[in-house]
Formats: sequence, C-alpha cells, structure tokens
Amino acid sequence: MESVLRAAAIYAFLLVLFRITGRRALSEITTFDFVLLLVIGEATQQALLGDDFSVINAFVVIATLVLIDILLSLFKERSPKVGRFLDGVPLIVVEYGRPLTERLRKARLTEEDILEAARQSQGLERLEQIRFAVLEKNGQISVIPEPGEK
Amino acid sequence: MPPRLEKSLPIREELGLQRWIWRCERLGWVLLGLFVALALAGLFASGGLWATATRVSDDGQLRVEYERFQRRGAPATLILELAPGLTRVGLDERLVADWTVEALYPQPLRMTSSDGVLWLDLVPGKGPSRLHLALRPDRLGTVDWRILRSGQPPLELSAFVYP
Repeated sequence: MESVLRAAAIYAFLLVLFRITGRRALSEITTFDFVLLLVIGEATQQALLGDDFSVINAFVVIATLVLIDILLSLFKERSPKVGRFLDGVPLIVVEYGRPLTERLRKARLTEEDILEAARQSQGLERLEQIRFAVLEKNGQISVIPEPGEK
Repeated sequence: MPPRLEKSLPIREELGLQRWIWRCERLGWVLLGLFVALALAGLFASGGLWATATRVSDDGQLRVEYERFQRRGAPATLILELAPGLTRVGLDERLVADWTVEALYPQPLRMTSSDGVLWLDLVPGKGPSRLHLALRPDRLGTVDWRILRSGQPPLELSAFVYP
C-alpha cells in the first residue's frame, strides 16, 4: 500500500513543480538543465523506493505512476479546460514583426530567444521578417515568416 | 503598425487562461520559496531552529533534548541529561514501540521493565550523566510519549513524524 501512496505523492509533487517552473525551463534544455534533471531523478528515486529494493516494489511503483498518467490524460480529455491549464496554451509573442514585450517578459523570453528560433528554423535574420512567432505548449518557439522572406 | 487581423492569427489564443496560468506560476514560486524557507527553519526535520526542542523538568533534575520533527526511517536523536544523584530514569514503552532504538550510549547498569515503563539504572557518579539514544521513527504523525522518574510527575513529550 505504501508504495502506491509514495508514487502518487511524488507524481503530484513533480506535476505541480514542473507546472510552476514554466515551459521554458526544460524544453530548450541546456547541459546544466540536463544534469539538474538527473539529480532530480536521483533524489526522487530514493523516496519512491524507500529501503525496499524488491522487484515487486518496483512493479507496484511503476504501475502506479503509469496508471496515474493514464488517468490524468483521460481526465484532461474529459475536461479540456483542466487539460489546457496543465499543459498550457500556445501564445503569440511576435505579431507582424512587432515583439509583444509584455508577453515576452511574462513568458521569460527575450527577443534574442525569438531570433535564435527564427535563425534555426527559418534562417531569418531580423524580427521584421517574422510574421508570427508562437510560444508552443511544449516551450518551443514556432516562427512563421513573412511571405517572400524565406 | 499593421492592423491586427483576428482571422489571420495562426492559433486560437486564450489570453485569459494564459494570464491565469502565469498568476498561478508566480504564486507557485512564492510557495516554493516558502517551502524551502520553512525547511531551512526546521519545520521538515533534519536540523534547523524548530526541529530540536529542549525540555527541563520542573525541579530541573532532568533535561531532555529531542527532535520535535522527525522523518520516518531517518535517524533521530534523544539526549537525556540527568542531574547528579539521579540514577534512575524510565522510558515510556511507546518509545520502544514507535521507534526503533538503534543505540543507547552509555549502556545503563541495568534495564528493567514494569507497568509499561522501561527503567534504566545508571551508575551513580559525581557529575551529571548524559544518555544518548539513536532512534529511528517507525510511526507516522504525532507521537506522544513520556519520560518518567520515580516519585515525580512524568515529562510529556510530543514529536511529529513525517512520511
């Protein structure tokens, strides 16, 4: 019984934690972020398993985590509002070459981040060449160029 | 500035929800900071100002240092300081039931049990004697127990054990 509760508690805590970290934190992942993730995983593992290293305990923990994940996705489907709250919604951050500064600031993005995404995905050089830049749910920045600029 | 054409927006925006998400995020950061600050203060055991407590009996003969907040499965310490001349102290048997006593230093001269109390008899010495107990909590939640002396009111202690 305890393993199930442990797994559920860890799942809930991590869900909240990663939700408030914001999408920017782990999508465009730097080496340091990666190391941080590993450390988080290590710290979590101890609490998940406790001092019981049996195979059945691992089965119970894994099954619980996967089950909660399935239930949560079903729940999100049932109630799209909750799903959008948990997953976030896409956000326009550049409109016709004009950066929407207030949104950028709140999303903890800079114009340089947009330009970087524009260079990488479309080979664009300037903000004016961007028709729309959208901060996607997964934290990536999609860039839609002005026609004829590509 | 080019006119904003709602029709040509590439996505369906939900600015209201987005603002709400941002507000929740900011609130989350504050709570996260608070969580860490409380952990530093000792609310979640393993050191800190609030984690340890000292209780002295009314007559000053017995002094108990213990951890008010503990974590299940994590080591905790209990220190009993007995005034010179006091050689007999009793531990509530709940201490043995709800904690695993991993070590007791120094070893008492004699350990006897009667009426649910574990009596420890120490060798009489000239100065105060200290007893160190290394404990591992097995139960969750608030646990109350008592330290007894013969002919004196017991010292009531309470600890909270986190999962």
